[in-house]
Amino acid sequence: MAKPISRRDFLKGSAAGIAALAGLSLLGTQKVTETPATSTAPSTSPTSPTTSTEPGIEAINTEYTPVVDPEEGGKWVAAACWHNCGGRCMNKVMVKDGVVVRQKTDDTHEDSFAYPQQRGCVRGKAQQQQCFGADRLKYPMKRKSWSPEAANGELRGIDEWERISWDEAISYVADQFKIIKEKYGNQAFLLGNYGSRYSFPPLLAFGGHTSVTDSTSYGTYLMNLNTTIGVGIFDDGNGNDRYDMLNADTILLHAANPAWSSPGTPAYLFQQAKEAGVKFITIDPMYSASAQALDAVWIPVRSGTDTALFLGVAYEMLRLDEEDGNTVDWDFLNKYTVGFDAEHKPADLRSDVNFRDYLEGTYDNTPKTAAWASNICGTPVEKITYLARELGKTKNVWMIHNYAAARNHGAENLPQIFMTIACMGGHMGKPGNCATNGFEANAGNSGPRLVSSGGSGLPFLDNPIDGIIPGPQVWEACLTGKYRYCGDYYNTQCEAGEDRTCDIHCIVHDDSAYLQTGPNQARGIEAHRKMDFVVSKAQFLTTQAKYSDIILPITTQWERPGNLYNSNREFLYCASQVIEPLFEAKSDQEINILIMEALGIDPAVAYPISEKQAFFNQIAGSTVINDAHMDYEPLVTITQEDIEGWGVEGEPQKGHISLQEFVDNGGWQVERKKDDDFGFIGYTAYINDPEANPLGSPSGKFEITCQSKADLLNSFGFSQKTYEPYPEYIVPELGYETTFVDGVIGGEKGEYPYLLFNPHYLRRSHSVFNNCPWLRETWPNPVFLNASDAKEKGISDGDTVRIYTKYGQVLRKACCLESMVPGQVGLPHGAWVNVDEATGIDHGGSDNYLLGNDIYGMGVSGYNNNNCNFEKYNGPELDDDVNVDKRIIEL
Amino acid sequence: MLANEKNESIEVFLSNRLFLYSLFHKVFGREPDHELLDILTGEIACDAFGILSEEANDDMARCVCFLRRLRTEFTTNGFTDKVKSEYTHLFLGPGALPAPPWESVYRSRQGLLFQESTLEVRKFYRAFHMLPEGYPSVADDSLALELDFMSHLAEKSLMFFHSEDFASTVYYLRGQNQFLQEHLLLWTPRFLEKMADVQSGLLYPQMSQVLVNFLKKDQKGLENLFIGEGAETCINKIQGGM
Repeated sequence: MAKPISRRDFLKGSAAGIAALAGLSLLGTQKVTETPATSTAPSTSPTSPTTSTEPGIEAINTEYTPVVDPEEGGKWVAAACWHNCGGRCMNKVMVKDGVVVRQKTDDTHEDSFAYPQQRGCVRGKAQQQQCFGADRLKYPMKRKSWSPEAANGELRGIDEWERISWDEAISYVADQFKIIKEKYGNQAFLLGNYGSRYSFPPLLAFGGHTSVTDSTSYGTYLMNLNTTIGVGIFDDGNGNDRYDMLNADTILLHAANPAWSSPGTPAYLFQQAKEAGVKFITIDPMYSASAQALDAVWIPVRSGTDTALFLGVAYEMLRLDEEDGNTVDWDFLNKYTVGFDAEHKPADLRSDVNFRDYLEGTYDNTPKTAAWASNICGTPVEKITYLARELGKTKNVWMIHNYAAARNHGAENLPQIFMTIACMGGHMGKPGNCATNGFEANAGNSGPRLVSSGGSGLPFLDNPIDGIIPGPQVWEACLTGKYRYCGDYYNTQCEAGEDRTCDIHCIVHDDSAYLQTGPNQARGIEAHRKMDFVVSKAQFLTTQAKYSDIILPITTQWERPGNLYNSNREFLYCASQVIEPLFEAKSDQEINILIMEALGIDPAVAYPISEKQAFFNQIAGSTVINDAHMDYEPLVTITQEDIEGWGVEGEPQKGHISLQEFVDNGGWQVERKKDDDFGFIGYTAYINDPEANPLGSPSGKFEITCQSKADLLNSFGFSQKTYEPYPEYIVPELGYETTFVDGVIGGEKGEYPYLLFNPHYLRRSHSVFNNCPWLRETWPNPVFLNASDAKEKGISDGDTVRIYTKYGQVLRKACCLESMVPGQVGLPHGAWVNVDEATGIDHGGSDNYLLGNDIYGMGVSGYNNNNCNFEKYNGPELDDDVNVDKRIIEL
Repeated sequence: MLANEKNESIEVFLSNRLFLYSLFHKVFGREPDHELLDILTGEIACDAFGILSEEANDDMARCVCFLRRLRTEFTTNGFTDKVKSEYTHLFLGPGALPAPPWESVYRSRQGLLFQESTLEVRKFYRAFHMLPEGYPSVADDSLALELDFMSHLAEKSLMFFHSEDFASTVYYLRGQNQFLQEHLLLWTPRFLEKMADVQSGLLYPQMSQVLVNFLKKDQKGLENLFIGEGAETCINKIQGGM
């Protein structure tokens, strides 16, 4: 011993120290405590000391065998996979005492085309990492320099944090809501989600809030298409049942990459069609993973120029038809459309124009030939001719798009020209033919649902505040107080534009990641720094949480009672609770109730029932098509014992499957057969009897020249141009043309000579999963460069590249591709921003850090045809994402 | 040496390690404040580490120097607040933690919580009729919880030693020895490696180093009680003095 001290004195000191330490309070989550032996010692553990508190020595030698048999005592649970890929695939986990020890996907039955297993993808398999990440947000946190008296907003994103209790957190939030409402009124609250008008009950019940509307994934397909040109809302639901795929000669995937975007059942179905001999064609700036898997013919196109490509195709179809008389379906055009030519003028058309005259150059002396189109879209003329042949009336064609081409500046006429081509080829309303979206779980499988969830029983709350800001303008509006209202196109519909003002003081991030997934991110960060108060619910230190003052830890779906998910039309997914809430996380309902109580609002106006009751209501209300295939009937049998066992209110009912089986199975899938009664062909009623079953357009027909579309477009006021009723090529204010100095194709290249687009990437579902180790390792998230472009700049695979626009700069490692159109730069969508505050450069690879507030046309968020430049980076080489720790706050 | 004197030496060992496990538990399991820093840098703590020092300027001696230096600093303005920031940054979040203080992070390849190793730890706790107070919402294998578990067992062994129930004393000591070998010592060195990368640490990187040194030393101390012998001999040793 280094120091002389008597043992007695030492022991006294030691005892005093132990007593002093015992006096220090410590939160329960950091303490172990003794348990009654009988209640917690697992019966399967043969070696634990049992009844005696002080076991004998004999027990010692066989004590605490370290290896725990992972499967012993485990139970399979159908676990939610709930993200914004929209897949709704089956995920099952073996849970043992709160730990997930195994994971699998659907094995409830043998796999076949008739009865496919609803298999999940790599992201679903990484779901356990999303739930159990060490970087999960565990406690309510407050930004250190924020106080009710002083926001110190400029420190958002770089400040330190402190842990607070739930009571403190809720008080801060409720007090700020009260103060801000009193000072500035309810319009001062901005709910920062992409379509936020009705999503946050505490503020809805407190007098409402200003909202955001963003065209999100749908792009210009949010443009009231059903009441103008006549296709379905979002062009949804008017495709054909999946069995009809096998009747097609060709499936065209336009800007659709199901291998990355819908890699569950939809990708499987397309694969089956390929194996059955169906030909695939893809139109895409990249020869995508889907194109490779499906051995597709690739029609390369510059992003944002698809309307030009389809005009060239239309011109070629007419030319070929003149040659062979057998390309254009004149009967279809005659019977089901208006506005193709002068002979089919819609009744409400105010000017004497039509599509054919535009196409042939009557108005501008420019026939929209394949060569004209090729100059814009970059597609070789012969490929345009090829596409025209393939889309001709003699072929049975499924035309499937996935909106990506509509997420462009100047894409307002894309839905109309896509529809026009489908009409020219007669590809609607008959077997083997359809033209529709191929999106999320329903990609390649349209038709009425065969099995559906019931409602939860939670009420809808209205929003009394009608301030709704278009996505590209929202952060500017926070900074300048100005925006142009044009309706709530995300939730309801577009309206005529109108200049409005707002005075936002508080941003609430509820259930989305809009600061990460919306445009103009750099200004968004500035806007957040200007606020009096920012609060986020979060599962991790997400981008919106990072720039907040209070962060509230939220549970995952695995920690909640359960939920039903409508997957594809044949499958209703039932996910149950896997684990108890982790650390101090709470559900949305729990948090919202606490906030409402603190605001003095009765939470029952939003939450009259428990989460478990809501889950039960969904199950009890679930319906399945009946045996006669004519009507729907209850799906699940529920007994009085079930109701009592669940502790809910309800009535016993008779269905097809017992409640326990339904839950254990993970839902219900309708087994299909070839030529069963569940087949569906979109637009059948209209095609069979157009007079009796008119479309929603003014004429009741597909409007190839459409006055109401032009009127709507001309009412927005975002662009200084007059839109025509026919689907003209719109030279975008930002797009391929602006990569040239004077905006003329073929001229001198400008400062930002490349077209930037944001492919959806299999590491993530939008921004979700970005931090999961398996996915970070497997999907390195490079920037995709055309190999020749890269070579010109001396860039090789793996080099660190600086990509820059006039709005921001981002670092990524290069992935040089021969299989991407020259002049394009593909930066995968959704990576979490990680700004180096010293240089302003984002090291995380955030696509939206490069985008600004450009807004044109219908107010579309133009994600895929921005202008950028890139160079080999001179600074330190970027580390691979897998070696970079997830988001760490620097001290 | 008289038997009771030898017993006293064991008592010092047992009492000291109880104090230190309790101390480490509070250091890593609790946001720091004046009260905790006062105990950590006080004479009792310095004596407790000092008694483990075997030669001048060894790890434990340096630890005492560090604590004494800290004592002159922690009363200065804002120091406690800075240490609190460090604790939040290292152990609370809200971002990813530079050296996550959970065993499973180091024992599963992907650095996750609630893994099979968590179940092993829980099984160990249950064998001694213990569970985290926050079960099942907290991961059982956090540094603070494992240290608390050790302090509970250390308390038991001291208690039974005082009541001269040497069989039970040995039972609990062996449990601790095994827990050190199969858990704490398996991962805390790797935790320490990550902690060593933390720049400008005021307290926790240093205390993590002290902790790992202490754990190794304690395990050796326990092993010395049992070395190469069955439990019977060990009891005899204890009873007969060492």
